[in-house]
Amino acid sequence: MALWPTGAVQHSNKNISSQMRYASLPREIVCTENLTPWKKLLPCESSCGFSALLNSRMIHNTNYHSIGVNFRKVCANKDCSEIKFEIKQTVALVYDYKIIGSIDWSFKKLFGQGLPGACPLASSSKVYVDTTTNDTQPFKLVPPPDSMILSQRGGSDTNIAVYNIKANRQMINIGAKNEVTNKLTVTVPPPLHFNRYVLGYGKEFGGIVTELTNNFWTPINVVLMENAPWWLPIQLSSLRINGEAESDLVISQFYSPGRSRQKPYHLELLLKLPPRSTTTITIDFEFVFLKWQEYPPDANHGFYIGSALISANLPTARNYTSLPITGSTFSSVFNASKPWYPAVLRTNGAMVSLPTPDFSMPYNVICLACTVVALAFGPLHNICTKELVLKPNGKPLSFTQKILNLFKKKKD
Amino acid sequence: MSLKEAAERDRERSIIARTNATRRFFNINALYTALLFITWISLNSAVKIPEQFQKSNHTNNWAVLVDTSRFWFNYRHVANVLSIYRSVKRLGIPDSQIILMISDDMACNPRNPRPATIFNNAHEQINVYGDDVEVDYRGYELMENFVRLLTGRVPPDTPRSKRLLTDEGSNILIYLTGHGGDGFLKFQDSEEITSQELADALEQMWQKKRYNEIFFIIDTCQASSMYEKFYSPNILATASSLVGEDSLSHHVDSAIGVYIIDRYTYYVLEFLENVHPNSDKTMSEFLAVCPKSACLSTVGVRRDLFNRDPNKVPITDFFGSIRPVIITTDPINILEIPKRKRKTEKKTKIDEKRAYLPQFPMHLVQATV
Amino acid sequence: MGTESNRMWASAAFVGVLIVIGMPLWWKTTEVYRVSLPYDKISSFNTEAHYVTTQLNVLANDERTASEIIGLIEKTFEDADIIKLKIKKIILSEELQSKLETAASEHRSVEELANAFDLEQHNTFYVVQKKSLLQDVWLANERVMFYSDDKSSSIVVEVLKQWIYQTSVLLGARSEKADAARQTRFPPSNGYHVVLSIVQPRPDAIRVDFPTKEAVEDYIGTFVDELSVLHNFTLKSQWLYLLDFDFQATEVKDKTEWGRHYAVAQDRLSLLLTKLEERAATQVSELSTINLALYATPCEKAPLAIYDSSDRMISAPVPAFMSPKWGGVVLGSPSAADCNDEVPTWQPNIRTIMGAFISHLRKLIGIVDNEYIDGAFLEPLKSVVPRKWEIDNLLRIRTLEQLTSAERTLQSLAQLLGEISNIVINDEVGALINSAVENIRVASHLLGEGKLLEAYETSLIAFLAAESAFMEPSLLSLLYFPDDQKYAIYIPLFLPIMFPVVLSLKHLILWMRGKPIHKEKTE
Repeated sequence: MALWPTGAVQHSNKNISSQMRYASLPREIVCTENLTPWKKLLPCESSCGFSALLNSRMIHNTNYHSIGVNFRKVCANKDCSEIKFEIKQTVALVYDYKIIGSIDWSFKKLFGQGLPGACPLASSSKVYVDTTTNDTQPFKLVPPPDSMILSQRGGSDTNIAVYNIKANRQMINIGAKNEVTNKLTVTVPPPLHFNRYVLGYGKEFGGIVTELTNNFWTPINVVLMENAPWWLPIQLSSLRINGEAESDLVISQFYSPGRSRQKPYHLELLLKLPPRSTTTITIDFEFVFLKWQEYPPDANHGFYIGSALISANLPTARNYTSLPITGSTFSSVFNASKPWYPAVLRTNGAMVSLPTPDFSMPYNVICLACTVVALAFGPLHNICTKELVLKPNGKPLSFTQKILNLFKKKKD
Repeated sequence: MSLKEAAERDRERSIIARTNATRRFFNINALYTALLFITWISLNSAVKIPEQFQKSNHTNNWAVLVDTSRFWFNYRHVANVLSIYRSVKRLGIPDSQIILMISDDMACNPRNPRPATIFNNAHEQINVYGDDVEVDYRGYELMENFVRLLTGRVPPDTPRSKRLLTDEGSNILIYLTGHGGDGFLKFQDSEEITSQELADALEQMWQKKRYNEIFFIIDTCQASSMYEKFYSPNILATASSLVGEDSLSHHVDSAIGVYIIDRYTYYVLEFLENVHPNSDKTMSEFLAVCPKSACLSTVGVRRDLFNRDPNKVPITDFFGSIRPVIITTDPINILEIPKRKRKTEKKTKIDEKRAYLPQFPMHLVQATV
Repeated sequence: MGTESNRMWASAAFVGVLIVIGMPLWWKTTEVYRVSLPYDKISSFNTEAHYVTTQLNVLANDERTASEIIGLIEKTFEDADIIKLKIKKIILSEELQSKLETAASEHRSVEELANAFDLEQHNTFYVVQKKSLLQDVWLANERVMFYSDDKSSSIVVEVLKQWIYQTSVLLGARSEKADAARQTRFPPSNGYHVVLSIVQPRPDAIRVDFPTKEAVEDYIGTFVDELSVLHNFTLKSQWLYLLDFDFQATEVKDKTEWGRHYAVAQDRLSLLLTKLEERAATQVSELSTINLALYATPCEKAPLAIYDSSDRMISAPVPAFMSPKWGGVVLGSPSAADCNDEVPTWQPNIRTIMGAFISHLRKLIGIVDNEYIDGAFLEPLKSVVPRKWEIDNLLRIRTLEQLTSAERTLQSLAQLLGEISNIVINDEVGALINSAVENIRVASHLLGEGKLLEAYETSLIAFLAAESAFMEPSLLSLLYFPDDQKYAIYIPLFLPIMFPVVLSLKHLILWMRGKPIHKEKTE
């Protein structure tokens, strides 16, 4: 329910949802070594075009960074009888004013250098700057944009400044200068936001809580997808929406239990979030004991649980920049009003601390067992096979007895 | 004066004359030989004898660079291995022939105050992490994959860039760094590889003709114990410390807060920064790069398995890359233009119409509302 | 005494449980599972004993010429243990003789011969007399060689040895140390990828009009179709943009239309290969990839010419070079007329460029070029298709190489498994090894009989099985308990137990024999 193919599919394919494959690596670190092969997919690599801006020291010094590769089949002609392939590479960066030092931004401040011209192989290279906040927080764009576009989408107006970048190897540095620098900005929360955390203490039970907040004045439909690994069995019986096991907020539900060491646990909920409210979804899990070989080298660090996936059908397009499904470039966003605006969002990940054994135990066990056996077996064998006989006094002592007597305490 | 005395005096004079003559003769001889000697020496050093280097017969170069320790305080090991990676890449070995294995991420580690960088010097001049680093094995993948990589027993779905595709003409540079002890090397705090296993792995490589010559460098504590058990031919090994000694780190970068480079690798790097692809420095200069005064531990070398004299082996035999190139002098003069029979695509099936699906299951919402 | 017998029986029980039952049980349960392998067969492999049998038909006008030719051939190949010739003597009929003599050209003679004999069969060759031949020996693409008379017998033998059968290359395929031919050609495999990359460093400065797909399909496709008995080929092509490489070329003035050319030192060329490899992305496939690259030089640096190490310009129709076991590169340059256009466009001459690539491909696949022999005429290739007898030769070389490589692999594997006794040998590995051993035997037999195609296929199966057995991921000694660790765990456990039990054995035996014993321990 949560994910649907974004490409053009054949009508006859009825089993499309059974062909979905989902994988996530919650522990993976994203660094320059991921950026390098990403850049290699581009025809101009990093010599010119936007990828030349991706200076890894600058873009990894951000609050949030993400790179993506999307590959799909698109319609090549109007009636979609022929298809072609589209590969879309995305970079999302969230900078903090505190990191760049001022509320004025420019390419040099964000990326360390200006844009060295467009890629000569590109049929179009454009930079879009959202200038809607110019009314409340006036700023000036330097250099002045080539054109301004007003986009009305879903009831919200957006002013966008457009720069046409040419492949003339000229360095261009786009930036904004704020006119008033001491105004406080109030951020308006988006229509849908969420939080996720892990509940519980001890090493027997725990729970995952996802809080979805609907700030909009109409209900929003979302699909929440939880894909828990096999070592974190989530119990469907413990599912509670706002504290109740049965809730009429749930329109549809899909649960596929996992199997130990074979399949993960898959839960999908189609919810209708009531307006201006927070919905809390809680589900419990229990801890399992892993086999000794299944622990990673730093087992005491904890195990990461991947993020939950929230697929939402937003009724408003405010601050919404996703492309419509038929579009390929950003210009398809302008005035692209639709009844609904689908968005796929991911929550933050979480970490649990599984009960980890003491890894020095095998050595300890061997030592202990050997000692016990050695100490216990000797006397046992002696009792079974030897007989205590009183020795008459006065018999001549052997040499070894004399030496042993030297070490014994004199009995008085 | 009597005749006898005169004869005596004469004899004496002749003896003196003779001795003088012989003395002069010897003097001249000595001068002559000295002159010859000096000329010979100057000739030898002035003229670069073309056979100064023993001919090598390798056809390609590979490098396997491994860092085996995890956690932030082992930052210096990652800096070690990336410094060698940088040098080796600069001297010409392509990324497709370098296998880089790093156990933990330091560059984008949340504790790193300089994101996406790794420095090997407190002056922070060179970012050894660079902009085009390609790490082949990272994190947990290192566990047993080092021996698998050497012997070629990787799982069948391993991509080619993660395999060691050497052949009988390959010179391989193997560099290991991390924490070690007498006879073992620790992998990520949970596994060990013993010197016997390493020796067996190299022997299997020799049996399968997977190398021509190996240069083995190891920078850990008691490092030389790792090469003592080698028994395959054509291996030159060097270690940063002998059995019973610890390898020490060089200095702390107070901005980052950890030791950022080990002594041995620091001096190795200083040496390699002066090597360029046409350099004529020899391997014996490399083996002597860190005297005890600088390294505080004795550098060990094992050369009995290596059948060339390290004095005559250029450093580019292992650190540079050779690629034999044969100029084409006999292209085919094609007079009949070929045309391959194309497989005719059956166009009998009508192309099915396709459509985009809605991205949200609104049909389920409508159904229940 | 009663208690004494009780005690003795107790002691005997301890001994019985621990030593008689316990020890063998422990030994059996900690045994390593090893499938039995044919060690004796593997150690009896003799890599120097393989040889190829091939059919040679000698056709002459009369008995005397035939005997003389055959005699000389037999004498020369007598001590070549790697190839055994089955010589068949055929005397040409009058009719066929006249047809051959009166044919308009040698090619027509070949056609006449093809009507009479089957020239398509692998591993055969025909040595035919044609009195009206201008040269002593004439050779073209079919499995036929013409010679004029018995005076050219020595040249016939030379041609057979060096061009047709290439005994030195066959010996190199069988030997342990790689010879030059083996170092150049790709290692044996059941398939290769061939990737043609067009490198355009300045797409904005000059347009390149090269029909890549058709060029690869037609030229390279036709070439590899002929080799379908040997390998499977996958053909791909790609364009690489903005791959800038500094040739460090110096300008040299000359008399061409450009008035200059740029000299590229030979040493610089290997660095181009490194740069190409970064972008060529040919590491994604399992099989080896043959890289063919066409470098489109921009107008400012055109035309390029390669200078060798002694600073002399290498004259060739198109500057090109290849690297063993990697592929080949052609340095293409536009003409002065192309560059003077409004929008500079270069239409490369497909024939010359593909000609260079085909010559690279031939060497990389294993076709060794022939040295000049005085008196013998080898018709130069006019099409991309390799000569028929070259394909036969490839089959022979590859079969020998695969057989000996499989044998050596199995020998080193057997040695390894024998040395390290705690590696588990599971059923798959055992099956692979047995299959490889059996296929080696069959292939060697077929090769000796002269059935070349079946021998090649069987030897390929043997080679792949031996490689898979050696590279089997489960054969890693790290995975299993090495012997010394096994003893390190069990000895501290069992030694304190065994100590009193073994000591009590002495008394047990004495008691069994009936002697009374008194062992005293004083307090």
